[in-house]
Amino acid sequence: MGVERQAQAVLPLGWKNAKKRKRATAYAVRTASVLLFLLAWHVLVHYNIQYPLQFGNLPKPLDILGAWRVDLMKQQYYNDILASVFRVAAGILLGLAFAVPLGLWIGLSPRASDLLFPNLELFRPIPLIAYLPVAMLLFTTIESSIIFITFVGAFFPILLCCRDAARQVPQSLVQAAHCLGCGPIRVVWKIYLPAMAPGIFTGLSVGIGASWMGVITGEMMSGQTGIGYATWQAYHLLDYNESIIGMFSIGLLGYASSALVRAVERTVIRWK
Amino acid sequence: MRIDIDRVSKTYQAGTGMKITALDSISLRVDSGEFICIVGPSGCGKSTLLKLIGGIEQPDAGAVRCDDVPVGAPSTDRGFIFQDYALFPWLTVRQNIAFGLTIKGCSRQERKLRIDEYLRFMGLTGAGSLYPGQLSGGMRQRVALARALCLRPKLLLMDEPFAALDVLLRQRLQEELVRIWQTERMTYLLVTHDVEEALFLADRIVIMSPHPGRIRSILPIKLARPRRRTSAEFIHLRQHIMQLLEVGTAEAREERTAALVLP
Repeated sequence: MGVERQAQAVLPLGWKNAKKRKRATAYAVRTASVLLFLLAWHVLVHYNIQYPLQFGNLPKPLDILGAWRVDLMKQQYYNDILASVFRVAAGILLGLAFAVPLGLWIGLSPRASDLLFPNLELFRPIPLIAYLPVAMLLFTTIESSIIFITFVGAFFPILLCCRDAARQVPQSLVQAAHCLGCGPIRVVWKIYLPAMAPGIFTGLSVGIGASWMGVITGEMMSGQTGIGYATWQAYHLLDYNESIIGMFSIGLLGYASSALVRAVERTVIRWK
Repeated sequence: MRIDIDRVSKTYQAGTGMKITALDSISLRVDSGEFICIVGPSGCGKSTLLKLIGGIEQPDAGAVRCDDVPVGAPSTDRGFIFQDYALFPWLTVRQNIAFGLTIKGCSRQERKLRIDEYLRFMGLTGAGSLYPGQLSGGMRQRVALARALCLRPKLLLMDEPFAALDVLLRQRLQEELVRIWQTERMTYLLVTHDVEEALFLADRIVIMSPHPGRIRSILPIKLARPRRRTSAEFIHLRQHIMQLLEVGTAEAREERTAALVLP
């Protein structure tokens, strides 16, 4: 019996250790992969390789890191980031405000679907950049036309996810709510929206990516501020360090915003 | 609550455009405080009948009246237990039970008292903060019962409430249901395809036959409670009902074949 107890105590411990070791190896491999990429980049630039691509034209990774450190001290860098973040946030909020009710309506009513969906399907495949001329004509300020582009980017993924989520709400839940005294309007708040929440978050995480694409496009084409503007402007001023810093900054911001969506999702949807 | 079902018919449009008569001019009267079980093979319209009484669906012809008031929309007077329990997965057990009470406008204090009472009554104390996804089938069923019962309905409609549970649990919940029915006297209507379940629970068993859905016979069960599933009378009655069900299904099949052959 003593031996048995010992074996039981040892077994989970060994299992835990193996798991820890596995995770440590995974992290080591991931770090090595990034370092290897940076090293390859450095070597390609250092030896001025021009074939198959003109790697020699790129700045070296260490120079970029140095310039980035200087940027992090400058107010302008943060101003640009804040300008872009504000535009994305505004576009996402507007997208939610329009896409969730519309998606719910289209999902529940075949008539609404027939009425609205053909028009929406017409606009959906248009790339965000192609909206820019119309946005410029529709809005008086550049700021609002850029926000419009980010709104369009967020709108369609959220709309489609909401429509599908609304259709998948089990009828028995709606009927149960009616039997418990819930009226037709309250059912929207008490049943449909919470039941659709996972779908809305799926749309949101796709939509926020599209919003970032939209904001960068808008800023590059017509902006005076923002991280996209800074990236493109630096290229024109032949400041390639700054261009690449802008590029990676956009990447990090996109990553951070999807992490934020996931974190909010985890706190809101605790029941899954 | 007394229920009068007066020549009620309901047809559905099948996907192929064919009309299916779920209920064909059904009449039934249920007295206040009665425990009625509706038994029949699938397709006999027993669930449809229950939904009509609940007000979830509307009849094409005829009328359902509860205490002389025609049934229009669902009401909290008529509790409904769904086959899949229909618990709200984003609410905890407590919040699920509170759902109807909140809508009714109960004060926070009264709500808490009522929820605690029914958690205890259903043997769910300690499970209050769990989500439905964390519960076993039997516990979910009990939450659904608590959620309906805490509104103090006058009638409880149950659509195959124990179909998804294993035999032992089903028998225990059946015993509990009899206990609840005996403490809170109200009218019970339970749909099942399990003859034994009906025999254990019902004052009267309504036997239905399919295609089209009709009432084949109504059988008063005079067995004394608590009933024993192994008593000679119980087994004899069970045999009898099985026969009635088989005859009903066979006749319906013959009618259908005849209808197919004749132009």
